[in-house]
Amino acid sequence: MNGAEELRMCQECGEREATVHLTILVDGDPTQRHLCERCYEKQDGVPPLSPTKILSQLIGAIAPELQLLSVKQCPRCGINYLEFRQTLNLGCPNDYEVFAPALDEILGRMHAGNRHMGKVPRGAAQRIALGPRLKVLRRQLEQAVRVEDYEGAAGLRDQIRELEQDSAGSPEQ
Amino acid sequence: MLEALSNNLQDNVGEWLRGGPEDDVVLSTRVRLARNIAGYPFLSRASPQQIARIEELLHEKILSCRFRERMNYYRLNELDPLLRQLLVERHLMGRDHAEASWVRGLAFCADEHLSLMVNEEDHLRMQAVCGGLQPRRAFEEVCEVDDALAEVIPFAFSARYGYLTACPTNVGTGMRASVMVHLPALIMTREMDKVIEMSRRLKLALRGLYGEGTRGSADLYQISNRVSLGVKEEKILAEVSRAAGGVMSLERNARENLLREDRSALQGRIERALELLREASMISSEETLHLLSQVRMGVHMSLVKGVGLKELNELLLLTLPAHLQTIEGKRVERLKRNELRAARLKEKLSVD
Repeated sequence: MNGAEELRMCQECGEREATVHLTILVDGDPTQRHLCERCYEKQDGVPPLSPTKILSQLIGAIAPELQLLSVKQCPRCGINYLEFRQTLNLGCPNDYEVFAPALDEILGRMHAGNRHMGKVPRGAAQRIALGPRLKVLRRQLEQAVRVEDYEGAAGLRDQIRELEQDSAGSPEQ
Repeated sequence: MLEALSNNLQDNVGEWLRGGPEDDVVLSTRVRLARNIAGYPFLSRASPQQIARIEELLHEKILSCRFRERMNYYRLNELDPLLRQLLVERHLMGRDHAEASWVRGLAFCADEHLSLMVNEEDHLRMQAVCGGLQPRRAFEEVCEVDDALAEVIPFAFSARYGYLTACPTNVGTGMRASVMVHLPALIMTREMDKVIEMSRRLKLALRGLYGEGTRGSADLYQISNRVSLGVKEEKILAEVSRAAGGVMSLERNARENLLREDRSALQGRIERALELLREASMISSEETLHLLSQVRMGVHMSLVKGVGLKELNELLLLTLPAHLQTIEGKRVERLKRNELRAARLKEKLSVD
């Protein structure tokens, strides 16, 4: 172990280990300050050592994609990923789509798997709610076939198939 | 109908106490399905207007739907608190739903084996209860209601995650299947850890009936599935049945062991419990439940004569606070209730 990695003591009290490392500008020059948490918080006008923020930075350091997720927000109900993770409660059905990549993992650990295997609603209400969007997609599919865009047609067919057994995203009337 | 319910309390114990297969240990089986309406936020994120709109919509659909049984619907905000407590004691809804502050409703059919909660944790929770161990029947009953409502309500559903619920612990099937079991002998012989161990192994939840994680008064426990996604409904039913089977043989073994070890001590204990119930001049609800539990086991083990299961089951319900007060026709404070309870017990259990 070299000297730089040795325990650094707080420059304020000299008693406790310095765990907060700041770079501040003194007369325009960047200067290093090393403080313990208690002395740091005694100073005026410094931002609090928020656990969420620290956590968020920590996550950011190990997995940038997780940090992206942590600020992900549902456009419908406004809940963000961190809020969901703290309470494990979702804000609206659409969140299952918005947070899908993370949910796959969470649900897989919580349940027997992360894909539905049970009953499917087959009622008329389901078909009616999806009617308008399906109509548009079917028209696009016909169009795609007519112009022999088979790749596009295949994609549309998948979308229609999925929508036919899916009503998470149908809008409020 | 609520009036009819309050007036007929004495002849009507509700489905969960009516008895059925294996009811020496399994009192009842319950299957509940959680559903939400597509396009609306879950309750925690819904505005008061949206919550009112959801209640209105479900209220209307539930009343206009042609179920096999007629449903009666109540806006809980408009009900007297004592009546709400009565409905909780009858297991038609949970305490949280009864006491919540927002607009919410409860529907149930005349014999009380089907009930629907509107604006509980999810927009809609429906449940069917059958006496004894009957998971298949309870599931079929609740499915009928579910299918009828799916004709008129677009439920929030995704091909990937199934029925979408406010809490991801319920997503997928949205199903919770549970059995209520009576385990006095396992408690007497201090063998509950076997039940705890088995529930853990089968990934099932075990809890005391009155209060989370506590020892259930009346020695009643509930065993239910934790997992709702990645499994078919049939598998959940099978696992809960398997657990019920396991608990049944543990409890029956414990009862036999008690008999083998010291039959007369056990008999004495149960007779004393019965005597206390008959002779008390005042008695708390908790003590009543505890003593009734002992006598109930005694009846199933043919150690007590002159007391029927029907009376015991009725008393389990009729001696609860809201039931006592409703029969009395007015609010009664606690100490006075303890006297009323003792009188009711004496009347029902007296030897003619």
